[in-house]
Amino acid sequence: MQRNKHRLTMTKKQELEGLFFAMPFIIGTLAFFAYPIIYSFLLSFGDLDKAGGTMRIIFSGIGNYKRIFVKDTTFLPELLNVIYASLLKVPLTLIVSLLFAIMLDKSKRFKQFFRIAVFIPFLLGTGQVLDSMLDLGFSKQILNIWDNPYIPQELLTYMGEDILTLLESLFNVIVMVLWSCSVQTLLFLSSIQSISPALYESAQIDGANAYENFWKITLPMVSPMMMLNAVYTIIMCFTGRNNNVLKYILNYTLQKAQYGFSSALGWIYFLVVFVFIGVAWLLIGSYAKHNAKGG
Amino acid sequence: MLTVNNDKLGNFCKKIPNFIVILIMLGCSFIFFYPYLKMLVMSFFSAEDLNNFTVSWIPRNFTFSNYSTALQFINYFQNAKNTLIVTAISTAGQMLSCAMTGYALGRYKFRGRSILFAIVLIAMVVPIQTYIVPQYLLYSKIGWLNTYLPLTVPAFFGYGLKGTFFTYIFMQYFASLPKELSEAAKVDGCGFIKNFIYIMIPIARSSFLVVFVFAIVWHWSDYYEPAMFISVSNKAMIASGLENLSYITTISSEMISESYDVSSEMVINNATLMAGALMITLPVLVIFCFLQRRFVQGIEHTGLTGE
Repeated sequence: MQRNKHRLTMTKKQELEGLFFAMPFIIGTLAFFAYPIIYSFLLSFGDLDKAGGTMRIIFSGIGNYKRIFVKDTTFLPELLNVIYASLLKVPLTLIVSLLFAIMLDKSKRFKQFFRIAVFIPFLLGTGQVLDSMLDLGFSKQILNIWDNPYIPQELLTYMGEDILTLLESLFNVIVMVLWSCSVQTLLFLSSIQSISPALYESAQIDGANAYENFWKITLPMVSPMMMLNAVYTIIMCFTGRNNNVLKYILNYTLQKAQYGFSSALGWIYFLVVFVFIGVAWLLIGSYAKHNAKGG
Repeated sequence: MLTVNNDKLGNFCKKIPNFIVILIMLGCSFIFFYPYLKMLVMSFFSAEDLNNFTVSWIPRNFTFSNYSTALQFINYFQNAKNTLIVTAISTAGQMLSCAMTGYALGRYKFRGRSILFAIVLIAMVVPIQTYIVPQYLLYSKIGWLNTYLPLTVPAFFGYGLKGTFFTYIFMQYFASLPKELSEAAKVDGCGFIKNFIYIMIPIARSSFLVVFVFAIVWHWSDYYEPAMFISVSNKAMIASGLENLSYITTISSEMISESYDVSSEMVINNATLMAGALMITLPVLVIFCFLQRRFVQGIEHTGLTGE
């Protein structure tokens, strides 16, 4: 046995070792992931045979998908709303968390305190606690412009309702972004702190200013983390609980028990998320490549 | 759009003096701490305080009864014990299996590696709502419903709650380590499993710490999968208790007494909800307070991305 192993070539040995470490995941994929995902895909082309109590699928072609795009009048508008919100939120979250990470890296005073502060909203979790707070309107209370004693009433009347509503929703988005950027800030911070100080030192000798440092050193060095953060943020934006599309899909799954249709909805949704991630991948990937080439 | 904004902000951020940075961070800290402050204050409100618009921060009628009501209604100690079991087991499982998978993907080249990586990405991206029905059918077929197995066993195979995200974190870390590291160990006659256990795991401890904290917080506050797979009330998770509570605050008192076993002197309102929410996040908060020094510094010194 032992001799046999020695006779294996280097690459073969590498391959076996790699497979050894990947084994749990391969087993997990086959046992817990492959079946549900394939089944759900097939289910989206039909419906579950409810009468028999079995897991048989009655196929009906692309009927479910046709229904989504032709008959259903709520899904697509809601989907567009979620897409618009994500187009705003994802870049904003990435920028804000990168900025926080840089500030935390640079700040000398209250360092420890700020690092804890950034992480505090994360401890609320993504689930029920945060939801009940949003239901009570916590996010709107913080930056309240309507009955704020510090803003003169004349200014409010001068600005008019439209602008104020816009401002209010903007503030709301900012608060939500701040509450959901802990994970990204932390990952960026760790990435920034692993950049070798020698890079900045040699840049300083060459006379680079802070602006050039950011563009030529910090940003390229954090771009792998940018990718992970982008993926995470996109997923978070699309699968957060406060999301009308998911509520709509869940309604079909749990209340109306139209499993085939809800699967089809889920797959369309998944496709949208995947396109988002693909675009992020291309943008950040091409940026990283450009840096690798041009320096 | 992204680059233009970054440009201005990055430039701006570098030029403003330190005290403005501190000012901004203090302002943001208020927003970060706001949920906890408000939650804490509101949990002491009496029913009159809730309806009184002039009371916003300091409760006029200080009351502790919200806590006892919330604890009783959520069935706190029973459910916390259940959640603790599931959280501990799945966190341990995920730290082990995700590190292994991340190590394989980050440091080995083998046939099917790109396929596995694609699966990691897909599993990370597909919302669980897409395939929860077939999963439910699968678990009901093998008799795992109303047990903790659907919540814990997949964690040992790189799945479970956000398991593939953890795999990605580990993968990125291991990929960034220099090749020479394991070469040297190999020359000294260290086998590949020993190499992983005695060299790679200690080096990656900051990643382990990050995954540990993430996993604990997420498992603790997870409500969706437990609610799907567990319908027996004495096995319920802590977050689903809060979900019931928040549902009750939205319905009328007649409906409450009809469908729930609630005595008439129990007052359930938003203050109770906040007391419950605070009690639920409290264990996580305590764990974080104990770990925060290590957590923040561990990342700082070793760096999650290598070096």
